[in-house]
Amino acid sequence: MTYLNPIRLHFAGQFQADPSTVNNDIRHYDTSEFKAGWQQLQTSRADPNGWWNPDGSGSFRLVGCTVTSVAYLESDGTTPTTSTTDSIVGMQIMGANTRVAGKLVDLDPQQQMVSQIWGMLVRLTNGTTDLFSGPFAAAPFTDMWNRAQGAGSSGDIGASAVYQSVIGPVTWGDPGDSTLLKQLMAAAPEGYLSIKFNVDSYNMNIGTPGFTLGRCVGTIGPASPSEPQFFSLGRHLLPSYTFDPRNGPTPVGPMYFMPCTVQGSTLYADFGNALPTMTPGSDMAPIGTVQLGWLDANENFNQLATLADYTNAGWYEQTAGIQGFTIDPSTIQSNRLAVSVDGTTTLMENSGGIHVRADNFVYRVNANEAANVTVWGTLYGTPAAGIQISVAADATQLQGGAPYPHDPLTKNITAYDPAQPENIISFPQALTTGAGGQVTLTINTTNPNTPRVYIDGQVFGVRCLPAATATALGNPPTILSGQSTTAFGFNPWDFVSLLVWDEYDQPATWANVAPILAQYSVLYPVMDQLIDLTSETEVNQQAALLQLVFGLPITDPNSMPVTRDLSDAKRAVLLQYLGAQVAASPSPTVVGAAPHGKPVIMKRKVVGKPPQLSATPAAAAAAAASADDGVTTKDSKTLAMRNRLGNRTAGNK
Amino acid sequence: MLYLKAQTIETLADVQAALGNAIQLELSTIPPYLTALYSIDPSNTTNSEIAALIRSIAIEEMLHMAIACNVLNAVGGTPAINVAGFPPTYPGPLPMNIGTQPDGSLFIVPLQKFSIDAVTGTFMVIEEPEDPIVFATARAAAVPDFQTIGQFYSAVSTAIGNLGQSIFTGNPALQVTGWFDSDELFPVTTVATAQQAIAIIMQQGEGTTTNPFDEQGELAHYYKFAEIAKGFQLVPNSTAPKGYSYTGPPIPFDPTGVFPMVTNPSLVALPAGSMVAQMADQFDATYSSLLNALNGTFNGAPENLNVAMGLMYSLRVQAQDLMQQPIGGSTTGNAGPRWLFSEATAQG
Repeated sequence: MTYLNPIRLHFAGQFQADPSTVNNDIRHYDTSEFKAGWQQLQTSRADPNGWWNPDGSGSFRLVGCTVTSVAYLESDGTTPTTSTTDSIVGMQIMGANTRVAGKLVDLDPQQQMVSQIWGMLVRLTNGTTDLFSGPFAAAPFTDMWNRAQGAGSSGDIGASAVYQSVIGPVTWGDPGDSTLLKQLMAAAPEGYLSIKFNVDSYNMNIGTPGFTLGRCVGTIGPASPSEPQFFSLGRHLLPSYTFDPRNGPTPVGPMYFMPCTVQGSTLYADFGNALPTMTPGSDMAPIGTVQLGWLDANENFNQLATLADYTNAGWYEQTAGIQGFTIDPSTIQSNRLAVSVDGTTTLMENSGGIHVRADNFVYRVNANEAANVTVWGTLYGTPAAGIQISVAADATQLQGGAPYPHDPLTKNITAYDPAQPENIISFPQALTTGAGGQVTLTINTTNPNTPRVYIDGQVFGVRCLPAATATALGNPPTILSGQSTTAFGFNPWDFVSLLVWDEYDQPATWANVAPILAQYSVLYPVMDQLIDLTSETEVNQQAALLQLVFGLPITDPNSMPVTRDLSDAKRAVLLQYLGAQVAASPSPTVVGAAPHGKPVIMKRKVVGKPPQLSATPAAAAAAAASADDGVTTKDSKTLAMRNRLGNRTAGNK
Repeated sequence: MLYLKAQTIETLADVQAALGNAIQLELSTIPPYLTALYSIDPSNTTNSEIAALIRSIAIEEMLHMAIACNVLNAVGGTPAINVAGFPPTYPGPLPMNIGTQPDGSLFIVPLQKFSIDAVTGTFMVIEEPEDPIVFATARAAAVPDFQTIGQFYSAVSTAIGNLGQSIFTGNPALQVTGWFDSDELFPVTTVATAQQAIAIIMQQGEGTTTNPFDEQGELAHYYKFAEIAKGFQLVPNSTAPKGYSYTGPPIPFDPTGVFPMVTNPSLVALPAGSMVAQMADQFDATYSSLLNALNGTFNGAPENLNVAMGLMYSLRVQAQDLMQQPIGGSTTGNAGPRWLFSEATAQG
């Protein structure tokens, strides 16, 4: 079970994504050639500098999201219903209120299309009490498309994408009289919830109202720990693709990928990211009569239901685009589902009702380690053994390389290709699902050995397709590289992205640590407000703090680097270096240094033992003044002050 | 010099109430100091020394708040930091109406960008010792019914001494340590450790009656602010009447290196729906989360201090971003943090 089930809540509001954009250009990783201007805001399309948000914090937040409606089962336990009067309607869905926000993280400058949310907590709260709260398993977006059709829709503001993951285990609050919460608790006995939200209408224009904000509309339901976390086992409807010389593979028709599930005699269809909008953030565009149906052997469309009300104001926010239709399940048990728009079949399940997908599809691995990818195969929505899967390297959806695609500036830096050399990764080219419809794809790695010179490791793509689809379309499908003009039967977004880090074995010296930290310093200007990572003095002074944050698990929102792109080997060397600084420090220092360039006025130990104070402060002071510890108190203070002045003098140089 | 209404501090309940007030008092100084600190443009290195001085003071106020929480926990009390009404609002009076003059006039603390006037007009007033060594002419005459902040802490310390070890019923597991020197932030479990802890607050704030330096050799807050106001470091001077003078190396100030934040941002309306309004709201949400995190830290989860630290760093980044945003419309000046606590909208 996932969010796409009878028991669920819908929410709507905004999201905030505040990524730093200096690292959008891989060439900026070459610290030896880095220009100060690349930390500045872009001044024009021709001069991107540090792009549109160089000072981004990396934060990802749910902003002003409230529950708009709920769905649950009637008291007979089988009849689904929806309601806008449950006591949780109007409550907030938001992030942590006792720790920092989650972080939005690219996998790599050459794979920026699977940005994951790390370290986010999700709560349902009435403002004073949480009804549930739990950690969001790091998840990437997928299924991005240009959903907004009207004027002002070009660029990312017109795009829409999906996040799906699991929250949990959650801590439950008192459900009170909420029917939905009671059913949700019963349906999720292990405390895992499935969450899916669509993001669109994202504002990248700094200085304007709503900068870094976009619309967020989503659904939360129970999750089954034995099922995939990042997609729903079910019926997946696909558009056909055509190749557009300017935009690459482009869906044919007005609709996009749509997942469905069947439970009992109800078909749940998620139109949330499948329908276009008129303009960014608007209601759904009136594309005509949208019907759900099934295909017979001749691919004739047989209607099951018509989608009502989808152009109504607020329909999307109220329902998240999810509709339940009463059907005769036997009708579609072994027939392909489809959607028609004004009589034209627009979305269909893949031939044979086959669907193949990797659950988690973003991996970071150290050299010589393997990524073990769980791949699921279903037939007409049911996990099935014996599904044959083709596996192939696919770099077509990675970005960059030479010639660099956005290269208005003369930069004397080579942009290296991703996914080279190919033989760094190895995997079986054919798999067959076992019992339960699952199979593990093991991607082995060797040492990339810095093929991109100034950036650690290499990024790869690996695509799994049903064997028959691969035979028909190629794997990777030839349309992805423009070698064919039309294709049906796959999702360009469904492939595994893999970042493989270099081997690293160097002594824990400043000389070795400095280049690691220097890259973070130039690529994330927000760090400059906290610490100058190029300064050995500052790094050493703040070693305890850095040791803490670089030692946190990457699931922690305070984990550094925010980008989660530090190999275990380099992290170990960095932590060893920081640990040595902490051990060598005369006393633990308080949180950090002066804002820039100068050492903090360090706290100093009193020479000799600390005074043991008497009953009153006055008596304590007197006792301290007369303490005979070999150095008079006055002398110790003078010494401390000399130290302080000396420290200042050094700092003023 | 600031006075507060003299309080009778005799019973355990008195001590617990006074320590609750002490937590609030120490918290109340942090937003004004940090606002001034964050208004100093980090890219202007001329003001680095000033920033370092204010920073060291603000960090000690955080220490003092932690100490007050430890002492309160030690005597069986419960810090309640994230409760509506507890976090001070600005502009506003200090807790316990500290600074209310005998004629009833209030001392109001504003939020303001860094300036010498802010230092002399507010910060040095807050921190003024009972008997400032350099400027003192004579010990301040006793004011009936009023006491100084130092006398307030002294009364708490005395009461703890009088009540004795039997009041130390708190769970030792609630004691918070770390990040500060272990001789500054340590477990409070006895009369002696409680009094030692309170003495640290008093000395770091005011110094001793004979020395501007505290027991750790660190200049007391008042004198650090005085250094900034005078523009020179305080150094030993055998020819000066009290043995010190502001004749050390200069502490330069470049007014152009301060973000032009409006005074009291909470009183300045921001354009509805604007980017700057969103940023100001987020700052408040993060500050509220910080108080939530600190409340958890001092109520059974001492390890959460690390989590709270993450929020502090986030606040710093957000404050400096905010202070670089012109408010726009008819308002001249940049936005700034309002430090508004809200339970309902707290989000890191």
